Amino acid sequence: MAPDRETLVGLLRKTEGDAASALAEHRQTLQQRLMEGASGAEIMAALTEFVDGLIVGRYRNVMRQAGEEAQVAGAQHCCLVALGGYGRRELAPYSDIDVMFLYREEAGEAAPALSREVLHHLWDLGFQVGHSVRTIRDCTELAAKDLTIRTSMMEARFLAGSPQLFQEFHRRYFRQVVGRRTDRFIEQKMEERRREYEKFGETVYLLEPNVKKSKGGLRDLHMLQWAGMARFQAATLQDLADRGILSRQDFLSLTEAREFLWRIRAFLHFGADMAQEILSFDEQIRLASLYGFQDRSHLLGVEQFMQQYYRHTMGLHEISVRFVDRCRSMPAWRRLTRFLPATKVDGCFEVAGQCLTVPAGLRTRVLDSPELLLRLFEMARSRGLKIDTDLLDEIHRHLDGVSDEAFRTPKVSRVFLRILTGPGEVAGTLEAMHRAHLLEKLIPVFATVRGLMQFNQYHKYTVDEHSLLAVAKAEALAREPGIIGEVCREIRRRDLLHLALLLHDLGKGRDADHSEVGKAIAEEAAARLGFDEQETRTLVFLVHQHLLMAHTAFRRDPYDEKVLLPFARAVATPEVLKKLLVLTAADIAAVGPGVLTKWKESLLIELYLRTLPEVSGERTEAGLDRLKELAGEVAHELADTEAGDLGWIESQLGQFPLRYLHGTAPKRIAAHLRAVKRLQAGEALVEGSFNEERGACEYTVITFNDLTPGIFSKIAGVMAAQGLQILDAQIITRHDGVVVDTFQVSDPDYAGVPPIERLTATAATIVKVLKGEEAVERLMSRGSRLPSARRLPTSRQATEVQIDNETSDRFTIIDVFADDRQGLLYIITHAIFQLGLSVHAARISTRLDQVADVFYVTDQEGAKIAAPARLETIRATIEKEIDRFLDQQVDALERVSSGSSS
Amino acid sequence: MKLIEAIIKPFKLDEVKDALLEIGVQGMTVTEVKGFGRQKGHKETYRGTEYTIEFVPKVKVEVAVADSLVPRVLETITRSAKTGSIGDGKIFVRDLSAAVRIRTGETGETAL
Repeated sequence: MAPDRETLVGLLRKTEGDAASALAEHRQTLQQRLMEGASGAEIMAALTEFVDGLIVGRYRNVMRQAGEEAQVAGAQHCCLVALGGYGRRELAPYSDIDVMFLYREEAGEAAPALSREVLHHLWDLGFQVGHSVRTIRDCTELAAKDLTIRTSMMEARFLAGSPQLFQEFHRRYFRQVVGRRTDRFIEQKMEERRREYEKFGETVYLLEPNVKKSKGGLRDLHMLQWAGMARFQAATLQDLADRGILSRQDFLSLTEAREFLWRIRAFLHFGADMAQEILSFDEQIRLASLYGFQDRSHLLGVEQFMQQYYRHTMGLHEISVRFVDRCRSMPAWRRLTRFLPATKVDGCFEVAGQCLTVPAGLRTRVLDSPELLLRLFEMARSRGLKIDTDLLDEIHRHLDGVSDEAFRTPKVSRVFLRILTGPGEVAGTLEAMHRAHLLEKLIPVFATVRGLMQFNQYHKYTVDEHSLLAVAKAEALAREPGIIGEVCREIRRRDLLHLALLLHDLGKGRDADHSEVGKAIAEEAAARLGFDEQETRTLVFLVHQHLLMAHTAFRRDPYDEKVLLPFARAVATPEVLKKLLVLTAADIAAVGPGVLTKWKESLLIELYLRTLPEVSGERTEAGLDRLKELAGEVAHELADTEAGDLGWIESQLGQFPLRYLHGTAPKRIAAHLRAVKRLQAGEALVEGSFNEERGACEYTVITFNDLTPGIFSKIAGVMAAQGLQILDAQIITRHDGVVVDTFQVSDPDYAGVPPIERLTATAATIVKVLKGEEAVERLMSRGSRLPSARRLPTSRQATEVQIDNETSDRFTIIDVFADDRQGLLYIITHAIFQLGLSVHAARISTRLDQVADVFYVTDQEGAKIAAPARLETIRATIEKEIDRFLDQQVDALERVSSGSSS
Repeated sequence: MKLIEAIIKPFKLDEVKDALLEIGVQGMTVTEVKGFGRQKGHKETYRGTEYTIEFVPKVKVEVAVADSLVPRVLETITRSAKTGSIGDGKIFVRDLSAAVRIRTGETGETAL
């Protein structure tokens, strides 16, 4: 007796309930197996099998309960087909299930009824089901219109019903759809994938990647399989490998990467109880520890885990791209160029279309020669060509066994610097070098940051990707309008900028502060590349201080002299400032899309424009407005006395270097101008005063620079003879030869305000010496004193004299770092004078017991010193003089102290 | 309740934030903004090309506080954001009719 309707429904509910709980139970078992070490493939196979069982069982049940007519139809004219990932038997724990109910017209009314019964059941189980009811003809027609449907049916798999019907479908589908218009299909799929990249990440090296859809995710593998199926009708990777279409090595890498991703995906699904495919930071930490990665001193477990992730996905992506490319038939121009003889260039290389390669006969020769390898990439850069991907792989395999020492030659370095200099695709070329593992032969540390993640919420890319991207961003900035673009185009030695960008974050992944580690890395790189002292200093500074400008611009007040001057002093030169600006902007831009905002740019530009006059000491057009403004202020100061007219003031101000105008109060400028107006040829005006605020005496010397040679040194001599300590000095030589020097000095003889006679006496002595009425040497010997009562440190800091000939077009710059002693400035300036140089500007500063003095000098004809030998003599002489002087002081002190104790 | 909106110089953010936390402000919203007040924009000339900087970069800090805290917040921001030079910014105060903490559904001052 047939059960009545109500009990039947109840019965169905019961079996459905059972099936749902069976599925839940099965998922739990699988999760357990996964935790115990089962592979991703096993989990997917088991789940597919289980779901197959449910669906096939349901189909049979429905058939059994249907009328006789429907049973015949169900067995002969209908079948159930698995599509897409389910068709491939690749069901992750919470994947969607895509099934199709295929039927012939002969099935009549039975088809929709049967399909409804089966599909409803699946919904009740809680699957996300994609379903369709189609005839074979529907299939071919839909496939022509819809790319997704076309693709999903390529992977159709028979589940239940009429096998003959399925075979017919399969045959017709492959004949009429899959094998047709393959090129267009592949193009369309590539386009679709490109759009996906835009949405899910343009790079493999995302910090929180989507295991399916991001670059290098499972979708890239599907791309390869679809293209292979369309072009070669090969259904699986195994097929492709067996038929020799996929190389053995690629096959192995792909299956390894596939398993790696499958397993992670299974964990992600189970972890979220849903189809979660984003490998978030939290999941990374969980999985890294599940996989047994241990934190090491310099690398977290999670970072090691992600490095493995990136290695697999990068490999998968590259193989996929190469394979899909091969599946496309060649466009006409490429077919043509294939028959044209490839153009040989430079003896070893061959250009075919846009592709640069090395002919088979010459490969060993090129691979074995570091220099030729570098020239290959240099050629790709300079001619805008792509290097053949197979060749890149071959280089990679070959380089594995080659020591980086082989690349440490001047020739190799020269070519590398040419690549770094550009123009053209500098970043693109470096990226290819990184792919071929060539970059790490030149910068060995680069190997350690391959796929190294930065475990914070701020960065979006891994360290290597970020570094390469930063170079690309710097290149992009150079093409932009606006001040940063302008500055970018002005930069000399772009190779140093690009190299600094490559190196700036390589210190990451170690215990110590990454800027400090980066400093050592930069020093090492500079030594490897054979940089001179100047180049080394610039590179090391840029890497070491790559955060300085961002910190200063975003967190400090650029209108505060206490902020601006130390920053300017650290940067020191316009060239370094420009490089640091571009480096900072490019570094920020390479953190992620949209991170470098106009807002941040304007703060950086503001700091740049404020600093530039400080470091250049030369006039820029930017100063003209400021000059007018300043003239007004100075006129205001002069108003009550001799009202100079505005035109005169402006022309007077125009004579001063900008450095002076920026750093001097209008009131002081007014005082200086008053003196300048009084100044007669052959005269010197000296004024001494006490500055309460600073607790120091201030002397201003105004004269003509042709009064006597070595003005600065003579003044310093007088100060030394008087026992005065120079704290700070500003040496200004105006364009018309008027000298305006100011000295801040402390007077150890007087605590507090010195008597007026002291000030006037010193001033008078300076005038006498400058006018040649008194010799400074005589003063010195007469005024000779014991070394000051100041405590001297027992050990001396090494004296350092550096020559900078790159920064300024007009001056040679001498930097002096030494222990501070009374009279030292005289020794230095005297040495400079003896060397026949004239000082045009100087900045004297004392920090504790150390001086850091900067002198802008020329020869007597007013030209920069060019000859390297001469520069070295200058450097060595000054250093020698300083050391001799300091040693004498120590000796003298020892004599005094031993004398007093005996 | 009041919503206090302060437009300040970017480099003053840390100082203002610390000072506000010290007087018991629980949270704040910070936005990078651009604009101008009486200070107006200015022109920058670089290598002969003039660049108009119409809008000056500033930071906007928003804090929602109970009425009783308003005077202290105003005083604190004024003190900590001040440099004394032009362009130090402004503070706006508006009435706040309601507040809800999304997680718990609490409303009014308890949601602040």
